Amino acid sequence: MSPAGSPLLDVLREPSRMAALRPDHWDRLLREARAAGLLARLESLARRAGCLEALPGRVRDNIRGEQAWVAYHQLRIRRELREVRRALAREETEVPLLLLKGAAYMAAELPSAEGRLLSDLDLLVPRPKLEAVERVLLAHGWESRVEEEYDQRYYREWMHEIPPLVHPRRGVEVDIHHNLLALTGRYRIPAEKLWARARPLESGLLVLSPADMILHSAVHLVVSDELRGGLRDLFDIHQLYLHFTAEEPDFPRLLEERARELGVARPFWYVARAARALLHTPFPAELLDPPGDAPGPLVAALMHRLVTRVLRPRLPEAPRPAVAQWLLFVRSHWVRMPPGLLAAHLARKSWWRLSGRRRAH
Amino acid sequence: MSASLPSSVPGSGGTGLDFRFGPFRVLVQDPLPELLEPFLFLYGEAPLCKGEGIRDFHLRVVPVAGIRRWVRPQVRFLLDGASPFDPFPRSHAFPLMEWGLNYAIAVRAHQYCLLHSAVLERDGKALILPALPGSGKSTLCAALMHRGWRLLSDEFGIVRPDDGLLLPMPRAIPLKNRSIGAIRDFAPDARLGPVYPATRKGDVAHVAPTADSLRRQDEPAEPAWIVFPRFVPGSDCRLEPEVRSRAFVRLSNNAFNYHLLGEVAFTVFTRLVRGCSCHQLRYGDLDQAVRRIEELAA
Repeated sequence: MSPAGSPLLDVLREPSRMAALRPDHWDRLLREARAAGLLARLESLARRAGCLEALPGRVRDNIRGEQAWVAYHQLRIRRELREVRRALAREETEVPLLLLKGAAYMAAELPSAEGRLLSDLDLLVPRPKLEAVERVLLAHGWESRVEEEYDQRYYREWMHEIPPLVHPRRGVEVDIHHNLLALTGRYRIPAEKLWARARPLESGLLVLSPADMILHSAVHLVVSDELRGGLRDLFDIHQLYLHFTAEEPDFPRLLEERARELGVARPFWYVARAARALLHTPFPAELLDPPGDAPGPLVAALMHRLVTRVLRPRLPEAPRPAVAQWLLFVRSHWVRMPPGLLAAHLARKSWWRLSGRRRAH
Repeated sequence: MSASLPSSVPGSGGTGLDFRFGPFRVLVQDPLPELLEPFLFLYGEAPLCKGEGIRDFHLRVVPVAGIRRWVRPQVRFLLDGASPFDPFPRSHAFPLMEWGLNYAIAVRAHQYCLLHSAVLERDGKALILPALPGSGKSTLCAALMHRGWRLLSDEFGIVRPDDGLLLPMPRAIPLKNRSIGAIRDFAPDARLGPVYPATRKGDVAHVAPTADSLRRQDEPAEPAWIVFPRFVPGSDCRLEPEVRSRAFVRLSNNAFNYHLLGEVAFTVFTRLVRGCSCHQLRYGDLDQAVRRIEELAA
């Protein structure tokens, strides 16, 4: 019997369980893992738990099939990064490049990189260098993905990035950010604080500090549409937390302090509670206690239910929890935009959808 | 053909049709009669699986909602709940499932190098017939199968990267239009399924894999010959050697996942082409083509 009601959650909580699963649990686990984007990661989990040899042949075949996609995409991203650096170097543009999310995990060789499917290249550059970087890339063959003037404004003025760039010969989407959260949003992190703690890698590229990596991933998860990326991002946070705590026993306290310092204690709290509930991430009590600006117990309980319901693994044919996802979708826009702007934006978007205009994002 | 599935058939319970071909185990949930009957006619019970197990693919062929459930009824193919194609007529549920299963393999099974080729075996050695438009690959494959060659697959050359061996997955061979008659003439004892008129590819009927092919579906084969076939009506039969470097390029362009697998594919294909005798075959007559290939394999 599956303790979590989901064999995927069972093994994410305790990977060594993979050594002794029944075939029908594996059958379900493969489907849950594939739907959640976590299939290829089972291999590194099994290897680290010392039970890779115990996996049935058919399971290893399916994992290997998925890993072909992972390896292909990781190679594409590595190549794209090299091309971006080459273009900037050619123009002698000295720009510190900070890698975000999947590319960062890959470059820093973190456990969350193993088996992770990444599709875009996300970079953070200092605000004053943004126009120069955009200019250089456009001059070297990258093209802006977004044509509509309205959407261009959406990206530039309201979000925190220039519209995605793609080089037509390679097709990889490059997202250049100057901050991590929408300028109009409720949670604003001053970029200088992130840069102040950024860590350099051997290659000269930078990544966020360990606490900032987790906080970025957590806040991005809560404010994104429908909690897109869902369980996979939650598991990233779980793995990162375990990894950094093993390296630095004082890490939980540093994480809590930094969350307050950046003003993101509340969204992080939602995520921490979800990770604790679904993945049994061993957060200490301080990180699970309501922060100073926590909502009342009713709202808090509702958010917790919504978040965990949407993030739970689902079999492909099971109905999506529609109401839960819609509510979170609205909320995510709320935290990105002031209500008046949000209403106008949603109205415009739904008109476009009805009249068949191509959506930009 | 029988009207209903006997309850004693394993895997036939309320949940679905559970079967295996070669390396892939499949569950088709809630199979419609239009799917089950041709399946059992062409394959019998040999591929069916019993009991709990791990499946590679969970498929469904379901009636479309709304008016098309009743009026000129249509069905949709689902792989893990996702529908990659437009609907088919309900009466074509079986070919839709076969086509959909091929799609699922091509999208997911990258633990193997997947050639788009027919593969047959004789005396432990395998013949690869890459599929190109106008090659007549399926017809030639069905003909060879009825001259003592074991069918590995009509559609996929499944190469295991570790050892370069080809894995069998013997399934029904779909024939189009005039090929149906050609095979009826060539092999009167061939087991042919129902004719599906006017599909996207014209009339389609399936040739059942021989009992021997099904029985030996766990026996891999060593690649020995690569023959690029080209059917030109009225032409004479000519088998010519193909330069290995060109064979490599043609084969890799023809594969499903060469680009995706990158370096792994390069190594596998190099070894494959080096280890095979490579040819191209132009033919206008099926008998002559079969005989020419027999000579090659002798």
